[in-house]
Amino acid sequence: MIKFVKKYLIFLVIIICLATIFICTTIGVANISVSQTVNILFNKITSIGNVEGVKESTIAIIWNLRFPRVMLAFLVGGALSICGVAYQGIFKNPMADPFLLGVSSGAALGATIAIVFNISAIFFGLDMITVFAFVSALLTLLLVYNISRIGNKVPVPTLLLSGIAISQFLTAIISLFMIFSDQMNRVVFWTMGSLNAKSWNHLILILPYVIIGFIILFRYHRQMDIMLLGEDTASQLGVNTEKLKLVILVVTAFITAATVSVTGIIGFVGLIIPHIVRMIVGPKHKKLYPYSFVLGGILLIICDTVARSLINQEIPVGIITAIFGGPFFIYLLKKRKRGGI
Amino acid sequence: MNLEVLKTENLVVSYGDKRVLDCLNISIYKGEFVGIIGPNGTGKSTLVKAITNIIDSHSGDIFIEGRENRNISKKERAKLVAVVPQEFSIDYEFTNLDIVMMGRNPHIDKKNKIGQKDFDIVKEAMTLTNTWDFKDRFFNELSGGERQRVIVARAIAQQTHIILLDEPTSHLDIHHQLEVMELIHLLKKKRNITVVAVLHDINMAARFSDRLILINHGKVVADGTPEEVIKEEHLSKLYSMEMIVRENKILGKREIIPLRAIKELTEKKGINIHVVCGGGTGEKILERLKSLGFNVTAGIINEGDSDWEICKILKIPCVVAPPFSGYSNEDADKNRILINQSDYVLVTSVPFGIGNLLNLEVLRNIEKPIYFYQNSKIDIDYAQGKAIKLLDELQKKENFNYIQNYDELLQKL
Repeated sequence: MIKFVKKYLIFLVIIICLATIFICTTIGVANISVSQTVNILFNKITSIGNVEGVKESTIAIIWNLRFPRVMLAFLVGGALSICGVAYQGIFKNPMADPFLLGVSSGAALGATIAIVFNISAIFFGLDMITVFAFVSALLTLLLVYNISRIGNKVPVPTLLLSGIAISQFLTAIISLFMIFSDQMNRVVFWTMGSLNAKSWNHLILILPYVIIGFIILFRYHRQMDIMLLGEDTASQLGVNTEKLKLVILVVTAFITAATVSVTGIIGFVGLIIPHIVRMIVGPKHKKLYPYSFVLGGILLIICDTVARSLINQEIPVGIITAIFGGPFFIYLLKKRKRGGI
Repeated sequence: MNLEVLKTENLVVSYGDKRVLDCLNISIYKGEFVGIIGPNGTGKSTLVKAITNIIDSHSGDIFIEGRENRNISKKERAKLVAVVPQEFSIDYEFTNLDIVMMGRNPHIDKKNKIGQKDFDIVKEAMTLTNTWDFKDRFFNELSGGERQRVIVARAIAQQTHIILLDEPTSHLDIHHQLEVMELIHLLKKKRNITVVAVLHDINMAARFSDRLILINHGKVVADGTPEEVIKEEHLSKLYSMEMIVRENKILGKREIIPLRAIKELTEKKGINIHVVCGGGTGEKILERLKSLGFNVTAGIINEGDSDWEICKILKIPCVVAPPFSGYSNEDADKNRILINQSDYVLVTSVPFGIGNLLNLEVLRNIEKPIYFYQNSKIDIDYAQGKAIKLLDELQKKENFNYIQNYDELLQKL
């Protein structure tokens, strides 16, 4: 059985992925059948098939509301997962997630400022909360990187510690803002992360970061494997470790900043998916990256579907991922105490 | 002249204020097996790190195959120098093939693909190190010795001219230590690879190295063949212990026998003792007496006897007779003189035959205290009862004492 799964893993994952996309696009308040969903999506994407007789509103719900949201969830889940893979590799730390170096608190501070000061200009079709969050996240990482730099080297432990310090510092500032503002609710909701009311625009906004980021990360898959043997050994095997660290940090900074600025902070996906995938396909990044992307995408689609359809009111998806992710992660830890995690 | 492949010139490396390498000058030539020895914390491993540019040097230069180290990129350097580190465990489930394939990293070109050629090189390296059989097993499932062989295979796959070993056997049992060292020695011979090995085991270093470099406080103390470097005057002070340096006849190599690091009280200074021994029965006690401060003499011993060698190493004055022959009267006289100069006489559990009976006979007229080591396991008489007879006579003397062990003796003296 296990052998069979491993052999056909790629097909299995693709089938599960497609099924998830179709089923989760179908689930919702308005009653639409799976066949209708498939029909509409197929028609929209390939211009083949017949959607006559299907209500215009149904098509709009599927194509303009649910499908972009599902695809955004896929993209964000995938993006956070590959960043998690990269961070766990570069830091050799199983507890690393994409928000380790303060990108989340940086984004949150930017968003908080935009919310608290009610900056509502529209910038290239984007609201200011997104723009502020993006810029602030990048600035935070730049700050953390520069604080940690000693000469031309950036030691990993220093990077981790300054990331934690800056994170705490920014969180404190966010709290200060919240105390003196009547917008506390909006800030809290933003930080919990949500895919509510997202459109094709948002998807198109983060798509280039994710695609280009993925390509660059994947290019360095072999060096990342060697990095797992330790920085000194990697260096002796011809890996330019400082350059690799810089590339990974810059690329993941852009990916996470882009996704966080659109969706808010969605935790746990970037932490647990790399672990699960590592158990299935092993530690080599050549496989870790693509499988993590797809599985992370699937996970976030499911979590988001639960978030919007569990009860009448929408729950921020960050809460769902944490509620499921936390215990699941503990289960994994208990199950496999030996190396790898 | 041989090609100089690795060289340091006035190399200084410091951690904070502490100079770990202090104007270190070494030259390594092509095809050599150079052992680097020295006490802990003298900068041996730092040297490896400096050569591979993991730590920056404070001043001075390193040249690898004539090129200045700081101008060599990591990738290029990994084509010149491979490292076998001290210990190697990883938390991830890489197969051994994965690990060895990582050795190909510096050779992978812009296309970023592993080709058939890389695979062939890896296979050859793993076959050579006898690790191909477990290529698909996980690295962290292997024993320490097997792991180290995989790492050696990885170094071979790097196809460098120089391999640096940083205490490659320090966590291995003696079998695997030897196995790894033999493997590296074989490689050096087969492929004409230059090997620079930081080793903590002096005997292992002396056995496998063409040349030894002894380092202390970041400086070269001695540099030369094992015979030139393995000398008591170099080593005993450096390692602050008492040791014997001798030829290991079986291997034909220099070796040291570490004796003790904590000094016993030398309260017995000035006491003279003469030891009657032979056939290796004196080995144990001669050194101990000497280190306690006794003025030790011995005799009569045949040349070539292992007790004779000990006396030679410890510079104990003794009366020596030619190999495989009885003692002449002249020898006996010399022996009597030595005995008369001493305060005590010790007879070890040496068996007596026709040849050395004189050693027992001489004691008949000696009035000094005589201590006779009694060992019931050994038949002492090989002289048709003559030795027993002599012993019976000696027993009656007031100055004659039996002892059961040497601690008893040392208490009495």
